[in-house]
Amino acid sequence: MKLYIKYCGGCNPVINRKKLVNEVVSQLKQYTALELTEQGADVGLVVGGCPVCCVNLDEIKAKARNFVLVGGELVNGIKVPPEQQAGVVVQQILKSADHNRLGEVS
Amino acid sequence: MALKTAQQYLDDLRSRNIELYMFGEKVENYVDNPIIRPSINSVAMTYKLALDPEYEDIMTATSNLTGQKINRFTHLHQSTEDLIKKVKMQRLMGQKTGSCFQRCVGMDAFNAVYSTTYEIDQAYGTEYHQRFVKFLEYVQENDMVVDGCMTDARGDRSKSPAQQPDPDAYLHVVERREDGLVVRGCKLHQTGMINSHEILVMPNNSLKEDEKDWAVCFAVPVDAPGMIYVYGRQASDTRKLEGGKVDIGNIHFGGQEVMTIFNNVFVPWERVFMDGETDFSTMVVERFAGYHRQSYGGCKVGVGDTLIGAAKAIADYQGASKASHIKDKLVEMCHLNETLYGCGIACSAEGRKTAAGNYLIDQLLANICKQNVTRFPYEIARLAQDIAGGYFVTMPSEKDFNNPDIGPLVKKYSTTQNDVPVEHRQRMARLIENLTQGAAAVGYLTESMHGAGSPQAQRIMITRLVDMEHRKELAENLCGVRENPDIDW
Repeated sequence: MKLYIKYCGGCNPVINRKKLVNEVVSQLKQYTALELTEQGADVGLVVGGCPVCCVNLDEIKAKARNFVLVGGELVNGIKVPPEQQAGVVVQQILKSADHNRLGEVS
Repeated sequence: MALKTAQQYLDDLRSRNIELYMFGEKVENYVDNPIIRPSINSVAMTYKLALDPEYEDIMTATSNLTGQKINRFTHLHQSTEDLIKKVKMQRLMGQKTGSCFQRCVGMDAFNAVYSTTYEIDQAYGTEYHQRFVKFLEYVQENDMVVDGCMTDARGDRSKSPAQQPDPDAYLHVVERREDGLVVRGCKLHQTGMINSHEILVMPNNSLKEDEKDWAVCFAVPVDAPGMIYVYGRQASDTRKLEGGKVDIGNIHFGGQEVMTIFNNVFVPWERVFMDGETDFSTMVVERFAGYHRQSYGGCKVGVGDTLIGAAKAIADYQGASKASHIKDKLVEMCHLNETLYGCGIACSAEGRKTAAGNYLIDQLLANICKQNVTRFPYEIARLAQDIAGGYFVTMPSEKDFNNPDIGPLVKKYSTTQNDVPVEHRQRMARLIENLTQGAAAVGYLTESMHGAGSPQAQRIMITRLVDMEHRKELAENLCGVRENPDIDW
């Protein structure tokens, strides 16, 4: 799976963004062959340090087919306990990649 | 080369020869001078973070002039989102350096001069705007630091520039030649001046019709012939010469202010962006001041974050963090700090497009922002000192802690909780000292008071921008002094 990662600017983070990404990447590798890419990704992971998640999605929408959004403790808008966050992000990424695959089949 | 590395920036500084004085002597290698180097490190961080994927989203932007990815510190704001990202970037930089990182003043000057030159050209058919665009493209393509240069020596404050016994009290044109201008004068308090590549000079204040020689805006390289610099002192600055690390407080970063003397400096016409248009001096001054008052809603907040963190840490180290009044004081510090941030964001979100196309902050809210900045950091600093206790100003020196004879005793009586190394308490206390009354207090406190204009300057603007009669009318409608036009049912 090709994954694109985009960080917010990190001015006022309530989570450790780098640590989360490292955990997510580490866990994903247990499920799939992972390639980090800047273009043509299956899934884009937007890592916002706080719930504002101020990354301009219009500017990056061409980078990946689907996106998973982290904004502080939120994953796709749903609050997740910190100790579960990496796991939930991984599941959302796999789900998004799976949607892509099913879309291709149909 | 749209984005330079921190190392390339340092190489730039080493490649030139400037006339700089400190402690009465000429400084030859200022880049490695222990008093100056922390301020250079602060600017270098603006380069490093722009190349880091974790921070590039707010540290970089796409130039409307060249289409290239550039450092946001050289950007012309193209939207309210850009204005907001500017504030976020400044907060981040304050967090990373715990000091003034010096590069905002040029960004604020670019944006003010860009829109003002456009409007001068519209009024007079001059060509200042295109000249300035060319200059800014050069700055963006070479990822330069530019000192936005405004505050004159000002002599007798009761007199305007033309009335001064010494006309040099305000920088002015002394000669107009076929190939350019010659200027003389002095700009005080210049933040990050010798860490810059270029100087962008603006007039200091509103000017009268007969003060054309003072209505001048231009750019020159920092090493232009005739430029003389005298380094400003900061509290505890010579601690950096003692050889230790702990007593400095902030061991890597710092700010810089420089007296900048223009001793008959030549400016070629292509670098002149205003010459005699006194009726536009107010515009450029107010726009620059407005942007810079917005800036303080970001940079001081970032430094405030570090001071709040230091207060929390020292409370933890000293076993005081569970006391309810300590918790309450930390909350109050956060409340004040986030209020400043709220003002910075608000004046950005309410920004507007100028005739030139770049975005200008809401002037009223920017002035409100800065007015709060003249107060809240002082209260945050007071609370930090309250939480820290008195030891941060009575603590023995680093050398006493390390002395083989008395060191063990000094450590024994400086121990708080057994699992907290004494040196941690030392370092944190010195950081609080640095931020609230040491070298960094120049930036965090006095600059909060006087930088971007002293408190009264904002109050004058607030008076001008608030419609008091409208508010009076609202009150009169409610209590029946006048008939309420809204009641038609």
